[in-house]
Amino acid sequence: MNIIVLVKSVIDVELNIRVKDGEVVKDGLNYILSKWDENALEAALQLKEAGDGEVTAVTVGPDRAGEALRKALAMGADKGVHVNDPAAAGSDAFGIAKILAKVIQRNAFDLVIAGRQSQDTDLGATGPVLAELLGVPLAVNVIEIDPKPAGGKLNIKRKGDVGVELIEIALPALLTANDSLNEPRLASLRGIMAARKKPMDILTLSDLGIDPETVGAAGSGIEIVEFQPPPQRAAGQKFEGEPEEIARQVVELLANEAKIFA
Amino acid sequence: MELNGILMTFTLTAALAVFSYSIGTKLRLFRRMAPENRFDQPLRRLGLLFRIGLGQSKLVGRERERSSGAMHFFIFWGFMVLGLREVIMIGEAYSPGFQEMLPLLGSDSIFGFLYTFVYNTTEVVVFCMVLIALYRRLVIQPARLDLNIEGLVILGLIMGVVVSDLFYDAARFNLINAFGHNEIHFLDNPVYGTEMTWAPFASLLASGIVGWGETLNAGFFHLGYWTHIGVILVFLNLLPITKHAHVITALPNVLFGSLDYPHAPADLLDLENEEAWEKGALGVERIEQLTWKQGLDLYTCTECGRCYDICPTYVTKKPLTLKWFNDSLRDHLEEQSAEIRATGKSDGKRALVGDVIQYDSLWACTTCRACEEVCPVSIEHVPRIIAMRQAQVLMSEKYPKELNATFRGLEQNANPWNIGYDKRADWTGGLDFPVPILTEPPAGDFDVLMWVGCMGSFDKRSQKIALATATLLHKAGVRFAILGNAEKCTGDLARRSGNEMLYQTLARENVDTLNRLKVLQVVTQCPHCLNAMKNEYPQLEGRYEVFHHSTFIAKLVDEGRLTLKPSLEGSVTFHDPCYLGRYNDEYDAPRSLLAASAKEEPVEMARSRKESFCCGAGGGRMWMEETIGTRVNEERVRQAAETGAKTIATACPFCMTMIEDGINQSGRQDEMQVKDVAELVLESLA
Repeated sequence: MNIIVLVKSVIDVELNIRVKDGEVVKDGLNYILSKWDENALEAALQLKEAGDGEVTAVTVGPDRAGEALRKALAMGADKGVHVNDPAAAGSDAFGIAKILAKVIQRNAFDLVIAGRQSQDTDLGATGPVLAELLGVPLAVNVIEIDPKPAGGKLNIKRKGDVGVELIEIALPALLTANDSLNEPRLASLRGIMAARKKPMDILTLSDLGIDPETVGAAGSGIEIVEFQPPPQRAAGQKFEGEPEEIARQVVELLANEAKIFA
Repeated sequence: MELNGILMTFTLTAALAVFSYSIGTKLRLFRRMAPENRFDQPLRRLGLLFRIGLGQSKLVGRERERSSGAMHFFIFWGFMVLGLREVIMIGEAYSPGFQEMLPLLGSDSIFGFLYTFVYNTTEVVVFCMVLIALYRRLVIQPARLDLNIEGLVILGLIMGVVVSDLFYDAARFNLINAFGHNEIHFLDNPVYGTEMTWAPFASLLASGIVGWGETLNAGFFHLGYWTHIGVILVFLNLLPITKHAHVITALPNVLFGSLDYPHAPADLLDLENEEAWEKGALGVERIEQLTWKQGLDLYTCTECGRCYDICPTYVTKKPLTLKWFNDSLRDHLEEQSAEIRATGKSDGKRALVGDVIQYDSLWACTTCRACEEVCPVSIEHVPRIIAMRQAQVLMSEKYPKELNATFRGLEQNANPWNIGYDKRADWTGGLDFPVPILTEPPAGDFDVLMWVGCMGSFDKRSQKIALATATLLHKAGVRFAILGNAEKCTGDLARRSGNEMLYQTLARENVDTLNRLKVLQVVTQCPHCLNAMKNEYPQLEGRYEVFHHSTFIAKLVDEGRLTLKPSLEGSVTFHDPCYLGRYNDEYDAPRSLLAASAKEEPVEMARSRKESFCCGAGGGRMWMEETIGTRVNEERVRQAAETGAKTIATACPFCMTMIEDGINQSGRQDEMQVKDVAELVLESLA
């Protein structure tokens, strides 16, 4: 099975994200592989280990995205593709999906797996748009994959709003991964050593035959006008005294202030 | 009445040939195992030999084991004394009066007579000790000993050695005195008298058997002699092939013991060596990858079980019984010996972890070193466990998966919880004075760097220790700074859990930072940080004077820079953190602080100081689930409760967490509390 995994380098959101003049202050920030992408990669690696095939990790982004890609290779992806072109910066989900579609369509593939959203923008759109561009069926928020495809179909479970859907999806297809899909492995020493020798294609937009005007900030239908820092969480309230008294106070506050019974 | 020299030559040659073959086999095996230089610093090594070997310090030095230790002391010294006796006895077979040829041991010197008295008395003492040993094994049956035939046979042989010599001497004396065999050699001096007067026990026995007549006495003379020689030679040849090789290997094992304190740090693996990881040569995943000294360790263990009943995993019923751990490895090494000697490799049919020893055994160890502290023959248990964990993590990727989240946190944000690294100095918000953050090499503005550690930086409870320590330093007028966000986990937990790659990454980054900032002195309230920085960073060219906060604060109190007035009410006991006590030999400073802060005289737990009982967090265990047996921390709290103490004082944030959890889990939260010594000192400032 030929599996493509989409990966993205994102700001480590464990850090304090500071905003100054409507821009995120980059100083002191670290970048990591987006966590749902790790689930996507883990799923791909498990599928490969259950049968056979090849896992290709693809990313679009600046130089630092290469580190995320290297991490994916260290975790076990067989090869990497890095679209590194300044003209791609500022793309919206549609722009990124267009670039990814061009990369993916260069070769035959059976399955594309993405994170259900990226950890920084939380948009969750790239996967679905890409499925549309590739013209393949889509299942988002996947929580379980039966590693044995049968009759060109894959049995999966996805988490819906109110329940779990059991789906048979025809390959080739695109899935996006929920974080309960699996427990991603750590890059082992063996993996890190091996990753150094794995092939990594670095491509520009012109290599892919993409008109720079159609992607990046130039081709984007949306513009981020300003970043605002998240609101400070208000301090919690501590109750003291007899349990009955505390319970009475809490119920009162829940009813009158939080209005949860309204 | 002659002894047969030809028979002696034959017997001796055969026995020594077999013995040399056995020993040679072992030496050839050790040569195929991993190399290690244990021939350095001969004077310090002789110090080990005298203290631990000849002085038997681990046997008689321990209060809990003093009686059995004394028994062993006498048997050991019995062997030393009787060694010379064997030379004399064998010589007599060739040349009656051989003893006269030996310097100082002939009739013309008092020493020969004194030696007679000593060996004769020793034989009786050894006889009595063997009886005690038999009584312990057969009647008392201490938990740490297992009854086996081999042990009884060895004791029987020892008894045979001394009894046969007593009969030989007794019969000899009778043949000379009563039956006129003056051709038999004996010591005789006009001033000192004859040998008989110096051998009270043999003479006593002689008077008992003199009435049996000349023939029987002549029989005992020969029988006693040849039985003695035979038993000695059988004993000699049984040793290398049984579990009692320690009679031969213990002294070398002590001599080649680790000189590093507390034991040699884990190997600084060359992780960039591609050949090494392709060959599976990182850490130990095959028995021959142990060093020759670790091989010697395996053969030296005599299953006395001291390691076993001191181990926190034994007390809490986990599948790490150290003497069987050693035993399984030794049996495996023995089984693979021929293969290793021939090809340099074991056959690999049985996996070292999984088949030879259990996976759960390897991961149960808290690296507390209690086993090494009590081992009478200097067996280094912990380094080989770490080496085996290294192979498990680096090569096989088999380890408790709970560690993944911890490793990820260390990788991304240099702390086990993966909290943003930029929040590391947030705890200083709880201080009412500013703490400088060191970013440039100090220009004489700072005396010491306060190393906060992950617990002090991020853990709510441990932050109070950091706050107390910082406040004390401030009040004493110490000029100190912190690294702030540039500080990273020292890597201790990664190294103990076998993740050498992660350890080296973190440690190298810290060493780079500290060296760039020209840090010379460090004070830390975490014994794990202390141990890593003091004992392991030198491997990476990080050399600093590192103090535990208890040591540092005690010094400030001694210098009068902090004045204390006892304020703590109720009884208090001190829990020794393993990495402070056994790893870094600091037992007194925290106790002195405790004594100065508490109104009552602190009480000691049954397991304290060198034999302190681990809280259960060491060796990365803090980050693994404890699903087998009972909980180590609850056991420790139970031990503390036995003293009646209301406060458990400790000096390690990990111990603090474990003990606090133990108090809560056992429902003692209304009766007991746990405090760091720094907190107690702060509360008692005059």
